[in-house]
Amino acid sequence: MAVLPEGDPAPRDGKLPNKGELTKKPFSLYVHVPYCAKRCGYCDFNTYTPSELDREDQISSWLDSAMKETVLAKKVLEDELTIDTIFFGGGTPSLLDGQIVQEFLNNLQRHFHLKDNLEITLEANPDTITKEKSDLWIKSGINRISIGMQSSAKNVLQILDRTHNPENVMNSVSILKEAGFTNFSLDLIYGTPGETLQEWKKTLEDAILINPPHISAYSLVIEPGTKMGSELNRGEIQPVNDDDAADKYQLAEKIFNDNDFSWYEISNWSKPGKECQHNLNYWLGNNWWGIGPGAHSHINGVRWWNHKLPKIWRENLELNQSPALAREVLTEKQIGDERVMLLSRLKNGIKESDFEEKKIDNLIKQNLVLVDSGKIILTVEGRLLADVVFRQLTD
Amino acid sequence: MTVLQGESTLKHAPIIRGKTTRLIVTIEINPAGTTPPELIRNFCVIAHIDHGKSTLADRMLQITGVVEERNMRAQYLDRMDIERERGITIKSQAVRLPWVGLDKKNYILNLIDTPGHVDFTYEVSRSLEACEGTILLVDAAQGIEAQTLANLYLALEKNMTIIPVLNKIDLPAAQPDKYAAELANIVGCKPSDVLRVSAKTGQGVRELLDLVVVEVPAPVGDANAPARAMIFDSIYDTYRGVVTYVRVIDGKLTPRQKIKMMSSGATHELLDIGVISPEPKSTKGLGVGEVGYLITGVKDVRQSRVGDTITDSVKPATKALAGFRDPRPMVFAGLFPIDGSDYPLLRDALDKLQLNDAALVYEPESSVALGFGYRCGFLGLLHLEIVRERLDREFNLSLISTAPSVGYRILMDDGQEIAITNPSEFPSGKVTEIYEPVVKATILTPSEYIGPVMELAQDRRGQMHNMDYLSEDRVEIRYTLPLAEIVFDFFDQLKSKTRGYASFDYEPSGEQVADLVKVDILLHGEPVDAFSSIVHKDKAYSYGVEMTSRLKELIPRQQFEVPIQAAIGARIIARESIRAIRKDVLAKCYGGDISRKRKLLEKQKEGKKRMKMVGRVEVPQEAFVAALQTNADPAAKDKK
Ligand SMILES: Nc1nc2c(ncn2[C@@H]2O[C@H](COP(=O)(O)OP(=O)(O)OP(=O)(O)O)[C@@H](O)[C@H]2O)c(=O)[nH]1
Ligand SMILES: C[S@@+](CC[C@H](N)C(=O)[O-])C[C@H]1O[C@@H](n2cnc3c(N)ncnc32)[C@H](O)[C@@H]1O
Ligand code: SF4
Ligand SMILES: [Mg+2]
Repeated sequence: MAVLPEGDPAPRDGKLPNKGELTKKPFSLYVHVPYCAKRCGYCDFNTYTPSELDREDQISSWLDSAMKETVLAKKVLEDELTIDTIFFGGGTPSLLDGQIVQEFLNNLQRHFHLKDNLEITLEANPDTITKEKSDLWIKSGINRISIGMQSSAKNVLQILDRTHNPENVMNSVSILKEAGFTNFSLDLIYGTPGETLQEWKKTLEDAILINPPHISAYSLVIEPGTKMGSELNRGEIQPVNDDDAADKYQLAEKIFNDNDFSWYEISNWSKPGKECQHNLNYWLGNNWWGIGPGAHSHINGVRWWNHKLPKIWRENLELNQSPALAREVLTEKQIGDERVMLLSRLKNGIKESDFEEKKIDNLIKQNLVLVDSGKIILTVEGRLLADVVFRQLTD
Repeated sequence: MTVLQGESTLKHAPIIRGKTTRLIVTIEINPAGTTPPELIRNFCVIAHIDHGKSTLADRMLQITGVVEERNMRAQYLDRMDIERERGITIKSQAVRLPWVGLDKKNYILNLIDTPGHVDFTYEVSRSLEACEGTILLVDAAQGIEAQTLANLYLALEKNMTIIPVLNKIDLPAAQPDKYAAELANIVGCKPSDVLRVSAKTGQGVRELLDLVVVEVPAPVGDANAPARAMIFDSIYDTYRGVVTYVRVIDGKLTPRQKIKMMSSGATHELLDIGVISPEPKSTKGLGVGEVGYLITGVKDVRQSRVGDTITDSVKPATKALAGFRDPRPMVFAGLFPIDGSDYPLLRDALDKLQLNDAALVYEPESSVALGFGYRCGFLGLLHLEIVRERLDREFNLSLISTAPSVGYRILMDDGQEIAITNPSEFPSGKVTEIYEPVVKATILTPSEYIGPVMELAQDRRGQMHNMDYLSEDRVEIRYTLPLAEIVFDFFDQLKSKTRGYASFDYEPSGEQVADLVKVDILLHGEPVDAFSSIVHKDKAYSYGVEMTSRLKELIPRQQFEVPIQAAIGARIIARESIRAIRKDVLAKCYGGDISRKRKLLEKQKEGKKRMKMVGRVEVPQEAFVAALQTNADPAAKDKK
């Protein structure tokens, strides 16, 4: 599993050193649901299968602690805050019963205002979406579902060690539509060892056929410590080929463009107006609180992250303590660097006037960026070399 | 048999075999400084690598009682970590041993254990200089090998007493009769005069010590003349400063005495003087024929040069001792600190190492690719490797070494003549002739491998001179070979072609005109000085292909295509290219973990800062290390 960053110790009461002005920026809530039926071969997210958890830490215990952290958030932030977006991420939040989601959201509204028509996303695995759940989700206010489709090639799903079949995706989308969902997104992964360009093209076309308002396409990272990481070490699979991944990215860009999708972040494309508001808040440097084991939060230059283990997270909350493990109070320089790192990934770009002309000219010459209405914007080549652009901009 | 070149001085007294029981005498009967020369025997042990010199020394340390049973460890005198790890002797070591001779007199034996590897022949010849006799040891399971002969010739040149001894007779594979005959043949004695011992079990070692007393002449010197002592080694010790090892020829050295270095005229006071037995022990002095150490408190390591003569400053001798021929370095390589700020430390460390390693030479060098460092000369690749390792271990210096090269003499069209030790100094003007160093090489091999050996030597541009049968099934073949062709992987190849049975020795033997070219390696059109090499015309192409393909694997992709070329002058002989990088982005969903991502980017930026720029190309330090390492690697295997 991905390790957490290193940081300073976080205080027991969760108090912030300086929470600053809170109401001036959008505020989001991230809710982490760290449970999966089975761990996928590539996944290093903070998630657990039933056999990895003690009885008292199974998914059934989640709601109680999650509600406690809601109370803590309210206590720490004090102000009468309005939540602009909510995102249930995982793990597999779609494993939660509809009632639990409902109860969590009801409780939330006792402590926070929710903006009218706010975006509430829930991540779902295709093989966990049922009619009952969908009805309850929509009733409780969920209005966006992000579906982990990954690929429409059976052999690729097999290498990724996913539990679902290609057909599951179509079916679950019908179920969701029937329940009344109009806003949903598909997650795709490209560059899996053994995936041909043809297979990726087919995945893209199949995704387009489903006609979602939003698609994320991620380049596979084989993380150490995962099942695929070991397969790589043992030489059973090839490493991800960067040239192949670049070809696939460019193919995706082309097919999405041809079908009225437009990129708005390096790995995200949407129909006009259907950008994921929650994720945009991350990239725009806005504030959010992350509830759940291992969840990250950011409030005006302070970042912190919770203990990863559900047990420690729960036990802290039961003692009325903050489940935060560590935090980082960003320096001006770090805030500046993060701004560049995050904003430069967006189609909206970053202000040209913040940088030396020479640097920008250089990047333009390398065909990595273009400048439009005073904003530096990545070209397709630049999106694939975004880290190079970042290094040159912050040099 | 045409091997013997000098007159053997071996005149054997009857060898006494059988058991003699004797008390081990550990009380100092002959304290240093007062031992009469006629009771002193100075001798060393010489042999081919691994034939058991250090193990024999172990038994002598034990039998004479200077090392107690519980303090004993194998190869006691191999004191350096590198020696112990590699199981080879690098530095000669002298020890003083008490021994009661068959005539019941209390003798003092000064034993010097020497290294066997060809790179350290210079150590052997200096050790011989401090002795009147030598034990020539031969592994009874291997027989005579190339360094047996080389070391024998050294001893013969000095006209010293040679005691032939067969070792490892405990081994089931030992063939003492066969090899006693072989040994007798080259030394010029009767096979029955060859003593048989086992350094492992101790069998025959007492008899050997008795024989040393009988055979080795006592040192001769004038006790009343002004003091003269020969510096045969010098080391820098962190605690004690410079420690100098000497053999007294005339007169006497005593504590507090004011001494003078005859080459420089510098004077010092003797703060401590003593013997090694086997740890340093202060004494009241050192007299004629004695071997020991002295400390003057001098910090400047250059003040105590090996080969210099020490005399009394008040009553100095008029004539210095002959001194040593400075060893000529055979291979050269640049040593560059990985961290540029270590450059002054490297200088200091080389100064200190040189004190103990007279064969090491160096001068400042700067490289476009590697920054500031030193061009160093070594006796061979093992020597290079040992120096690099000692710099790393003893001085904590991480270094890159460039591809080793031999020295060349170049005649230019305009009559100018240049000597170079670095391919990057190769002149750009019109060259009429290039001279390369050659060696006289001796290869000993079982006769069944003559074919493959000759093939290999031919491939390495060898010129065969003659071939002699040492015995029915073993031959000695002599070649002239270009030094550049043998320093790298020749020995490895020889071993693999003869299933490990051949041995090999060489000595410098002038130079020859050769058809050589300089191959440059260009990165994106920029020559990388550290990768240039001077090679024979016929091998230029394969060098170019190997280097370019190796670099292709080692240099990370850049934002533009990077051609890697090998060129002779303006002519490209090999080419590879590193395609432009197309993807360098974290394109995975990281959710809210922005700290981790920022840190990753910060780390990337740090990594970029440590890159060396060759023109526009960023080359990681490790790529230089790896690209250059493989060239020197055979040295690691070359040690045996
Ligand atoms: N069986 C047996 N093995 C021996 C004997 N003498 C030495 N050896 C072994 O031979 C190997 C080499 O011994 P060393 O004493 O290190 O040889 P050396 O001649 O000092 O080697 P260099 O200093 O590297 O030239 C070691 O493994 C010893 O244990 C012996 O009499 N009998
Ligand atoms: C927070 S994850 C989990 C969502 C959900 N549990 C699922 O797997 O369908 C969101 C997305 O990140 C992507 N992802 C996860 N691990 C990845 C990896 N190692 N490399 C690339 N993308 C990855 C997958 O597309 C996944 O759907
Ligand atoms: S379902 Fe999603 S979160 Fe769970 S293991 Fe698979 S990729 Fe990871
Ligand atoms: Mg030895």
